[in-house]
Amino acid sequence: MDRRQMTLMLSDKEMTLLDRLSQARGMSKTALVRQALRLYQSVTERLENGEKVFVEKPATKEKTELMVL
Amino acid sequence: MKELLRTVVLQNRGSKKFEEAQLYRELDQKNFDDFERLWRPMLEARRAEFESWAAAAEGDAQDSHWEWAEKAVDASTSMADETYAIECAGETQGLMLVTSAAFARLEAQRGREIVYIELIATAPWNRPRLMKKEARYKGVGRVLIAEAINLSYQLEFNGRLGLHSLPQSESWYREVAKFTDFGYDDEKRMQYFEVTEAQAAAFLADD
Repeated sequence: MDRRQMTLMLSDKEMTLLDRLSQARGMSKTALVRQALRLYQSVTERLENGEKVFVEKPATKEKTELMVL
Repeated sequence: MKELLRTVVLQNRGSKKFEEAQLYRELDQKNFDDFERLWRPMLEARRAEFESWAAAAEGDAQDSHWEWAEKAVDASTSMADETYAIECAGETQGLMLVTSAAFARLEAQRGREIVYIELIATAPWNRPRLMKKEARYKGVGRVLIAEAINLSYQLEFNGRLGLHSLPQSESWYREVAKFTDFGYDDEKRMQYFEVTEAQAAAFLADD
């Protein structure tokens, strides 16, 4: 698979978050950013197809619709 | 674009010899044509021998309604989805569709990223219960699942995998592959199986 390179500029806060998430999920920063992109596309496509994406609180079963603008 | 990943081997059940096969990422028109021209008539004919979808498990024909071309075209525009084909003796021997936009359910790995197998099938002539006589190639499903595990490693998911099984295949996942049976999923109306990191490593070691 062909790869293309880019430089990503992040704020301290964003980099801290990326560090924390990649550590917590046991993935490199690169793998985490790639996975975030795949998930973002997946959610966006579902919404564009008229599907709804919900987040549910397990205790109350309260559902919140996820919106991507 | 269709890409040759590697050469693998499948065992010819008749001659008992191993034959070279090609494993591809992304399906093309040849695979769609093989499905329509070769797979679908056999699957539908066997399915028609049973009164219900549930009963068709006995003939290994519960996937006769799967629309591979439509699914593969949808998958080609998604970063999270990948399709695979195995070809041997000039014909498509197996197909698989996976997504990486999925999360684990097992308590030990709950919420962690997994590769989820949406669809997986071996050609009808490779299924002993469908053929009612000797089937052609053995090992197609194992090669495809191993590739899904490889993808899980490439994405740094450490081999974690999930899938829903048709009733006709449940015993293979439970008893042969030794995946964890998570139980019946009411929403999908199928049994859900998950593969831990240790199970993935064991599956590849058995390969």
